[in-house]
Amino acid sequence: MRLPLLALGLLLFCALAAPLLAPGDPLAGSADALLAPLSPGHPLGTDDLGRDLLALLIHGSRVSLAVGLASSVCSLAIGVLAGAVAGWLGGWADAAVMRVAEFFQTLPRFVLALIVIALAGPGIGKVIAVIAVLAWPQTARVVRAEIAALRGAAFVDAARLGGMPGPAIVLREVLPQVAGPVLVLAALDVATAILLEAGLGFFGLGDPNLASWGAMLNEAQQYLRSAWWMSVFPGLAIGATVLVFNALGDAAAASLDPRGR
Amino acid sequence: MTGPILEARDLVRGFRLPGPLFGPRRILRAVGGVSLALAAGESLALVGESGSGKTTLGRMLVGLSRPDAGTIRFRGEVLSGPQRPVQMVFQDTAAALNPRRTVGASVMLPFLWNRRLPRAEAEAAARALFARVGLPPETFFARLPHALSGGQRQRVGIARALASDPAVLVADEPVSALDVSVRAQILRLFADLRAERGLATLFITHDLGVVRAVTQRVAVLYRGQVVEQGPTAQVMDHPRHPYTQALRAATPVPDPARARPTPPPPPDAAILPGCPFRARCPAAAPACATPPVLRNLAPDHLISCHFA
Amino acid sequence: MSALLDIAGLTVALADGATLVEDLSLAVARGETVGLVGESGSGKTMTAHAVLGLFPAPGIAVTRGHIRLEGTDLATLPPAARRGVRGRRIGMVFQDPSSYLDPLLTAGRHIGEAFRAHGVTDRLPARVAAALASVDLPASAAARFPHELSGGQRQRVLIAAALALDPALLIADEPTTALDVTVQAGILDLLRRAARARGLGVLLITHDLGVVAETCDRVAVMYAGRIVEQNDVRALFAAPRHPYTQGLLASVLDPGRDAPPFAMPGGVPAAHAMPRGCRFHPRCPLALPDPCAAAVPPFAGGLACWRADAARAGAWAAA
Repeated sequence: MRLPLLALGLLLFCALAAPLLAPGDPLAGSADALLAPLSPGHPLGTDDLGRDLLALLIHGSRVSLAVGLASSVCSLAIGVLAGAVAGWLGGWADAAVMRVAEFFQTLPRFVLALIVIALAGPGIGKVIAVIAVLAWPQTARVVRAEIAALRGAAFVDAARLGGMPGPAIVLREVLPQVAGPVLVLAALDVATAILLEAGLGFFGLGDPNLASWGAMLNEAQQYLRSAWWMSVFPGLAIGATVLVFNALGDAAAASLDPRGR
Repeated sequence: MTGPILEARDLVRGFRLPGPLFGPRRILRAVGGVSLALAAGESLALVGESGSGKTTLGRMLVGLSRPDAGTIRFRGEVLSGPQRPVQMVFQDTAAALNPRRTVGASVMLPFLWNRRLPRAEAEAAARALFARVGLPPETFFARLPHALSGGQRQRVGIARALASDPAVLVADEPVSALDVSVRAQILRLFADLRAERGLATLFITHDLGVVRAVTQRVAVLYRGQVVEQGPTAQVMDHPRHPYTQALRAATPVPDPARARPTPPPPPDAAILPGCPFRARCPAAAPACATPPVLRNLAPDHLISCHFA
Repeated sequence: MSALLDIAGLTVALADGATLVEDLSLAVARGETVGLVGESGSGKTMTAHAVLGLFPAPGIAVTRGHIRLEGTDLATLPPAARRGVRGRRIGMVFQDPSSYLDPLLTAGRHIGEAFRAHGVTDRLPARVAAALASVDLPASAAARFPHELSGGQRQRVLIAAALALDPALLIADEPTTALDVTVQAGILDLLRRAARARGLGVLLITHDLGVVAETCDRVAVMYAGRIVEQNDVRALFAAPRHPYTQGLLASVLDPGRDAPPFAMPGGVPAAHAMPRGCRFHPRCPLALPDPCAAAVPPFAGGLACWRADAARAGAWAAA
């Protein structure tokens, strides 16, 4: 639990304090240091426009985390709501919600994201929205299955007999039991969203006014041989961040098991 | 004489069985026209084996499940859905408690919702109930269910049912999952509470020993129908329906000198028309192809058999 | 006559030293049915696990004593030989038949697997039919899936599989607890007949004294990991000597008698909170600070009680 939390803290700190930490403006290049290798002045080297990679990387964490966290929160909200309605009510409500969820699940995520951004123009808000809309069905499925199973549980019956109205039972008795698997999914969603955002950036569909890890990789493709640092460091940053969120998910699941306490 | 406090009339409940993809779905009749009445302060047993429909019937009586046909009245008013005065104690003590809530919080729940008490009062009342059911609140109130034994959890379950201040308690196999020595403690608690609060209690059980120990009247259920009903001592000592007789004879006794007689043939999947017990009945005759009706043997003794 | 199964001084403990079974000695002869009775937490099921050499969780181990089957100390056997003993020499039947049957295998396949697991592959259909016949099931039952069988029939299939290789010992752990009473009697009768006809030793583990009374030749009563009393079944039921046995018998509810339920106070202690001295002393009406609360009573003459003389008159008479 400690290690992933520590890593998350470090990431958040980087993102929040980016202007203080980064050496200079990430988007300001200097013509005299194009594709400069690692040096004391540029600890991670510079890119083809002479921009400092460390500064880009630190500022890029803002985009990645913002997209990851915001889209995960949105998909979590939609997914839990849809899943709770489907699982608790059952019947036609269940069928309706699940058909809609299936529709979104059958859409090829990345292609759809590409099309939407290409048509509507780039922008971090659109990226977040697209990812959230594509990710919620998975959460909804898990929540629905868990709630449908718990709907007949004796302690839920007991709460009904105790006078608790249905919505309160869902909110206070049932949903907390689902918190473990849902949090795992949410953490995985963050990781997936970060990857998706990087992918969009890689195809040049990120927000051109923001430094992002995906965009950095996009520019690095031409220099894979000549300037390895341009691809390696953003790649490592993406990989490490995804791992951190996966680990967080597992840790959250373990700590939410009441028997473990 | 006052009327019954809880009265069920002609309750029917079926379940759709998973059937073939095409063609008509089979309907399993779990409860097929059961009428029961429970007087205030009375203790009635509902006895049957697995598949007799006793649990389904219990769930309908507390409003957790809706009958397909028939009515349930509490003090003369038709019930639909769960009501504060009719509460339930469950068999599986672990499943009946929210694993993430302290047992104290579970007992507070009916005080907060059914009785609309402010938090502090609800907690004080819940603590008092803990003490009443034999769990010192200072030790147990803040524990999670898994840290309690089965007997202790059942005491919590009883306290929770009492928290709604019920007039009727439906107890579904409340001691069958408990150890022998703990079982008696819980049964005594039920008996004491009934005497002290005038609680009408319906014990759903398969255990005739439990029936004799804590009930005054018994209804024997077979395949969703009451086949015999009467005063407990009378039905236990002189069972009249062949099924009650079989059940009574099959109950093991802790005495190596007394052997159980040979049991009746096991239940058969085939459902013959007529008397539901026909396929297993040692006394079955052609007349049994017409379904017997529940009739009075004596004013308080009902039976559904052509030959009893 | 040497015993078929001979357990001596068996202690089963958790990794932290808490004992689940302590200093247990028990013998089962050929053709004999021995009941091991106790409530949950008594260690009766753990004793069965020890005989099988299979524990339900890591960290549980036999720390002392030995278990001999037909003269061989099971602990000295290499794992492969131990596996061979299970199934071939020791058959097993458990409480919940459904969870031991693969829902996708027919009854016949399930019994067939019992043969195949021990290298018997010839004349399988005939062997399966014979195994089914031995538990009073028709040969047509071989084609049925578990969900097409009743609870009693499922248990019969498991017994058939357990007896398939003609073992010397059958361990039956609560074999009828999940079954309706009208089905119970048939299963118990089957076990009794198997014991008699095959010279099978049966270790019947149960909490139900009624089941013991009608099935067993001898009974050992366990409480909190120890055997507190052991006797011939008639003698034990006619004159229980240990206060716990007396209390347990008094707790049985008789549908033929009007009597308020008798309740022993307290509950079975947890493995990590075993009382010192006699483990029953906190619940015992006859307990004295010394010796009951101070020293473990020795097991002698089929009884482990410091207050045997006082208990003769009935420990709970006043209660």
